[in-house]
Amino acid sequence: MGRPFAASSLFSKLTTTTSVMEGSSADPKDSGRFQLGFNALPQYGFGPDLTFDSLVEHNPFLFRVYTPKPLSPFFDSSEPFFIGQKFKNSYRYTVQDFQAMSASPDQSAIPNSYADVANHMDWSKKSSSPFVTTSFSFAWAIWEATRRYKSNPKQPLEIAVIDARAVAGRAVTALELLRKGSPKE
Amino acid sequence: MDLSEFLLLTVTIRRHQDHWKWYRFATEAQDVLIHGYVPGTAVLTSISILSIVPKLPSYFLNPNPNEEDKNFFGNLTWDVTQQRSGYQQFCQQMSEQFLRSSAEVRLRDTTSSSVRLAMCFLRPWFQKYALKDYQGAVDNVAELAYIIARWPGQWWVREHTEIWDLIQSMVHVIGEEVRDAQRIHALNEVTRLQGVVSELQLLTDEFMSVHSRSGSDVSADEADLPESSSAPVSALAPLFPPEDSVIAPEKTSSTVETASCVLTSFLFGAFAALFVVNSQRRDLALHFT
Repeated sequence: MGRPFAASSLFSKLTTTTSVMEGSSADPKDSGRFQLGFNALPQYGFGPDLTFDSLVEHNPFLFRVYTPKPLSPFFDSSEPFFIGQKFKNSYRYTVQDFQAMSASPDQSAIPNSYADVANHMDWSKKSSSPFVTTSFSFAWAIWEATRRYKSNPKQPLEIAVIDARAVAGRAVTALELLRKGSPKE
Repeated sequence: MDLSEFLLLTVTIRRHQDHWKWYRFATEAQDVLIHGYVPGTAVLTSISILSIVPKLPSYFLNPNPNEEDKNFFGNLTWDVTQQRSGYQQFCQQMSEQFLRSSAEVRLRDTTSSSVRLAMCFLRPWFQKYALKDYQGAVDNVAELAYIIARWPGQWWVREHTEIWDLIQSMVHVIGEEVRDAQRIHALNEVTRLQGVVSELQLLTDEFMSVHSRSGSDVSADEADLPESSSAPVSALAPLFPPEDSVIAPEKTSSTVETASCVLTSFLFGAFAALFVVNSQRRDLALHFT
């Protein structure tokens, strides 16, 4: 630790590669896929953008701290890896089950009321929540994982990196639901 | 919104008693709720915290690390066991440490150290996709590295636009190395498998040649015998026994009959002789007495 960083030598070593990449048409900086720091989440909390849909474009990773359990030897990657507490019972839900549920006319695609988020945040009602908790923040995931590790070093802990774009349409920030409030309640 | 509307809203909204506690938690954790499930295809990787901690940038770690602490947790600059050690305080502490360090160390932390941590998070996924979708794999790791880089001091990273170029270049170089290493590994594997197949082919040929030679020797021996005209006949032999073996039981039975006749004749002769002798027994007895 503390070894001086030879910035100039690094620059000279990488000049060739950088110039090659600048000429490439696939440069994501130029393609607009990833802009330099704009629309990025701040270190702590949220900026003016609160909704998942507006944040996901420039924050494409979600992190989840969890205790891993051995997967079935027949596990297929198209099956659910994480499921909401509500669906953790003797029946093993498949992706088709969830798709059928969301397509059902008597249920909205995503529960998105204040009551739904309150139900999820309330520890006493956690088991009835249909949500899986994740975070946009890698730092929060590291902080939370180290905190849990210190309290119980024997418990294995992993951080899952999730493709946020793959769950778009079924994801919301907890804050956008909490800010809703509900006049009916 | 005028005052009456505001008052109406505050009256009608009845929030849970823990509302603000949840609000603070959801804010600091940048919490995202996914409804139902997360499919395995959306989970890029899952990495143990024990593997992540040694790869953290320097502002997360003590400048004088404890060499005896093998799992690196003793080298972290924050103590989560403290009662008042919240996440907000952690963020402030990390930012202060980052901004206190020299420009060279900041540049290192926002480039190579960020790439290192991003690569630690995504290594299994990156290695899987380096050959399949090279540009996509490089872009994703670079994006995560840049998110990590700007975390401790966004304004500083925004002022140093070269950081994005450096991160991209570094990930590009790593990607090339991984891709080339995988190609070399794949070529070596193909060469090895070709060797195995050639060896099997050689063994098969050898076996076939030995088998066919021993088969031809047997045929030659059989050809010398006058009665064994062809192999199929000998093969059918057990199913259709030769004529000799059918005749043999008849021979045996005729011998028995002959023996039986001889024995019967002998016994009949002996019986007749005894009868004759018996009829003359008195004369003989008188003769000897």
